[in-house]
Amino acid sequence: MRRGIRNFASVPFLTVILTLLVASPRASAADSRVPFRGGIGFEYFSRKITWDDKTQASSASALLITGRGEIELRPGLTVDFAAGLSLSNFNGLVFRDLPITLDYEAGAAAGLLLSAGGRARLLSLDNFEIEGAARFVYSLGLKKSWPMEGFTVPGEATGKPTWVEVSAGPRVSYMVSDKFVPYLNLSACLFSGNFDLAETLGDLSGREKKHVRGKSLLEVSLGADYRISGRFSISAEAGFLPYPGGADGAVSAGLLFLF
Amino acid sequence: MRFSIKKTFKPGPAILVLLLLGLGSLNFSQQRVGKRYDRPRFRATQLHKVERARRFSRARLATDRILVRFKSGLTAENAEGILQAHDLGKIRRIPAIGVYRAQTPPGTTVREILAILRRNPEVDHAGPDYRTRLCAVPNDSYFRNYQYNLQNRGGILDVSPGTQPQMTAGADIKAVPAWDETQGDAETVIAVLDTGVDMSHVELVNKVVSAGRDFVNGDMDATDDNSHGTWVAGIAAAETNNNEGIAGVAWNCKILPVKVMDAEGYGYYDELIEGMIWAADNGAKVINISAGADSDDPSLKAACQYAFEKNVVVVAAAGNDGVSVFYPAAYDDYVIAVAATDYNDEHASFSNPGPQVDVAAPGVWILGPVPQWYSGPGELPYVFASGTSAAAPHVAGLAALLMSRKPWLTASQVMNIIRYTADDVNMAAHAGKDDDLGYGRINMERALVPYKLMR
Repeated sequence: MRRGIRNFASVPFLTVILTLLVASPRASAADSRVPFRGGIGFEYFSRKITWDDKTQASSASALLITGRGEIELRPGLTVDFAAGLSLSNFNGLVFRDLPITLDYEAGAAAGLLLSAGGRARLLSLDNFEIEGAARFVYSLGLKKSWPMEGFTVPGEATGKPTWVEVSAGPRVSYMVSDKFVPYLNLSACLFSGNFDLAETLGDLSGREKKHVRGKSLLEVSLGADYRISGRFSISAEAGFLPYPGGADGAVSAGLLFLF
Repeated sequence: MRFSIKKTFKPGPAILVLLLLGLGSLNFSQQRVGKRYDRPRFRATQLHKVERARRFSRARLATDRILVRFKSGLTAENAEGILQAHDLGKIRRIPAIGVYRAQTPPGTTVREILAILRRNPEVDHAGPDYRTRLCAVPNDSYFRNYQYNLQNRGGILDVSPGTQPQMTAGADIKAVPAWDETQGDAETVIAVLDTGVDMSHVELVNKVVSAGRDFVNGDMDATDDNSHGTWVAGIAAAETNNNEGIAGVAWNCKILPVKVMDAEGYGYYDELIEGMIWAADNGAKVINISAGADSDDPSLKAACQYAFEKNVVVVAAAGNDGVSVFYPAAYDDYVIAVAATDYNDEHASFSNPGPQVDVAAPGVWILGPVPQWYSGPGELPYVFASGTSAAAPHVAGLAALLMSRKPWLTASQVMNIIRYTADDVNMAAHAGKDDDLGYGRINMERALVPYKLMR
């Protein structure tokens, strides 16, 4: 299944990067200066997820804390990357293929997070700017153990959640001023993951890998970049992801320093 | 298996409990000629007939309340005015759906007031206030008050006027929460290797997959001519939630009757061996053997191994003579040996101890079905009886539920789940696995309901 995630993640990610590179209308090989901004970012999201062939549903959430970097390869083309920690909560997943059925209610599990993305300017019209934006996020869960108590023999469960999120779509920015730029993002969004859980109870053992998919395929978000000073800027974004019968949410904030 | 016999009577509509017959312990005082195995002899288990047992038929609806919904457009004031005009009191509105709950006036019945209201053109719907109940609590007549083994609420177990032991709440196998997880499926078959099964009994008529096999008389009709097999089969998988009689452990699982003991409750190892192999070859996922003897025999062991290797869970009673664990229960690698507890989760004195005991289950005053001819005319075909014979089918029922819920499990895994999820009810005296109760009294909830992984 992990191989599946890698395939799922890497193909669209490479496609996005190549598209951004090709699509940039102002690409210029003569630009020698490469502005770089670095900082920190926080993000929280919740997702309605389905599993067991979409017959079951629960919610997942994650808190991401990252170090971020942005490079403006050329005017109108920016790539960004991030690395950090994720705390992913898959409460409500039920693992019925194990000898003793386990209902995961252990809360957030830590993981390592890698993210990459980019934006390419497609069109400028007065104060409006339309960009193509894409992002790939990969969280590799760290193995964690939980005791299984109340049985006649000692037992424990060990597991880790791993997930990827890929999103891509247009971003419309309104240049209010040099300092403040609000924007609207509309993205196709795919969330997919695996929770690998093993149990050992005496000489009983079992392992189940649960594949989950995000129910929502679309994200609409509003955000803004605000330049505090010549080198510091902050960004904030809030979005919702509708799905039949409800909506998920996501918020993020970042602080960047221009080197 | 061995018991003393009591006989009691409770007059009127209450319960008549008679002490009759059952199966007893096995010994080897008799031998068959030629190629014979030691003859297992069964002594009577205490079987108490139940005559005209109380029916606790609860009303299906409230006798003094109704629910009314009016047509759209009618104001709340007018709606309440209509209800008040019919002397309905304690009016409570459920605004989200425009429904009113109202109390009927004294001297009128729900039916009368509903008939009046239904004639009113402003009324969209008027109906009774139906009683609700928990989903997985069966409605079988005797479940609530007599089947402490499945759900023990404490109080007195009214076996008979002379036998009314005080019970401890919670001393049961936690069946009700487990039934929310699964009630079994018809594909999972429990073979009952016993004296046969009364296939016309209301608790079993829809539960037997076939007429089975009779290895005693050499035919394909495993009809019970003793009563013990019917009682055992009913404990494991009686027709449940059918508004009468008792609840079985495995509601929806089926029974394969295999007769390996005669009308007197005797059998031979050859019949038991053939019965096990036939059951394993004919679709059984679980084999219950509420019988045994105290002689080790390689052929009997081989039959147990044969079933085990065909992924069949073999459950056997530990025996009732208080000495050592019977065979085949004692074949630890292939059979799960079951001891008996009582209504207080205490070790039943008759239950055989030994290192081979895996788990325990209730085995004292267990209500189960018997053939009508056995209980006699005018009496209900149910008896209270005791023995590890009763404990084993509880475990067989649990094994069947596990196989139903998780058909990919091996027999070994099912046996271990049953062992490791038991309640160590005699922990104070013997912490951990012990010779009396093994790992402890089975806990269906822990075996079947998802375990919550917490921080």
